[in-house]
Amino acid sequence: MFRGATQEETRTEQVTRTKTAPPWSVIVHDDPISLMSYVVDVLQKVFGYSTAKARKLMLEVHNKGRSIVWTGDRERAEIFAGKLQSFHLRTTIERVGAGRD
Amino acid sequence: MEEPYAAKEPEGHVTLHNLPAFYIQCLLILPEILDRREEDIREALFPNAFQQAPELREDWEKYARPDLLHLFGDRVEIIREDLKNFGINPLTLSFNLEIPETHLSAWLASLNAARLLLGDDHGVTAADMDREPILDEEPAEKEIALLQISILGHVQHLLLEPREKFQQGELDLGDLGEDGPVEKG
Repeated sequence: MFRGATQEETRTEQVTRTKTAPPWSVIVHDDPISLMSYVVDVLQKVFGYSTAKARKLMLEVHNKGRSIVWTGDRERAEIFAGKLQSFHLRTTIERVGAGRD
Repeated sequence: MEEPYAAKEPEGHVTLHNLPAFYIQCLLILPEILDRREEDIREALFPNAFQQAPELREDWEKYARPDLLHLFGDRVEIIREDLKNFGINPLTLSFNLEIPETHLSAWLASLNAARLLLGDDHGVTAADMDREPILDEEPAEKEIALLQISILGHVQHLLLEPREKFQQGELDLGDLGEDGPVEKG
């Protein structure tokens, strides 16, 4: 930012940057070991999803090999990916449009 | 002998009841399964989340992975301590294990980690998971691993069950902190 910019200008610049930054997806990948009920439980714990939504995402992981479980800004994507990995779900973060989905 | 089950007790813990002796054997080696060199669990359990954004991988290594490894180690210690709480039912000659409710997340995660590590060690595939282990007189190591994965999975299932019966959200992310393990401060 150039010297002498006002607070308002700084804020506008930050908001614009946030709005134009490409969103990121948190992706859970299938593994042959984890219980389906455990995956549902973790998705509910981490995101607060309903049982129906968590189950739908889990089935997508199971049937398609992966599922986008959340999309948004990078910092929150990192936090969510960390939480999912702490429960040992295979998780990656991708720029929207970077993967095959 | 009655089937194993988990029950929530009023004193703030969950008790696993009617555990057969071979379940106990399997649970007692849980810390041993999990207790590995950092470099051995790093890729198996905590792969870099930025597989497709190489410029951000260093960030993950620096901020996220150390917290994840630390949390993993803490949970192994929790399991090790809780495993001292086995009791025996003299009438049925079965075992029970008390687990504080605040430790349930650690148990569920550690059971999953142990199953994944066993699977990784022995090249367990989806097809293996769909079959019964072959337990002849001298079972192969992979078959023993499949049996262990199955038993640990059953315990995990039992611990998930009482939660479903009680109020949603009961097991919060207490031991992760409100913002999770990767907050950069």
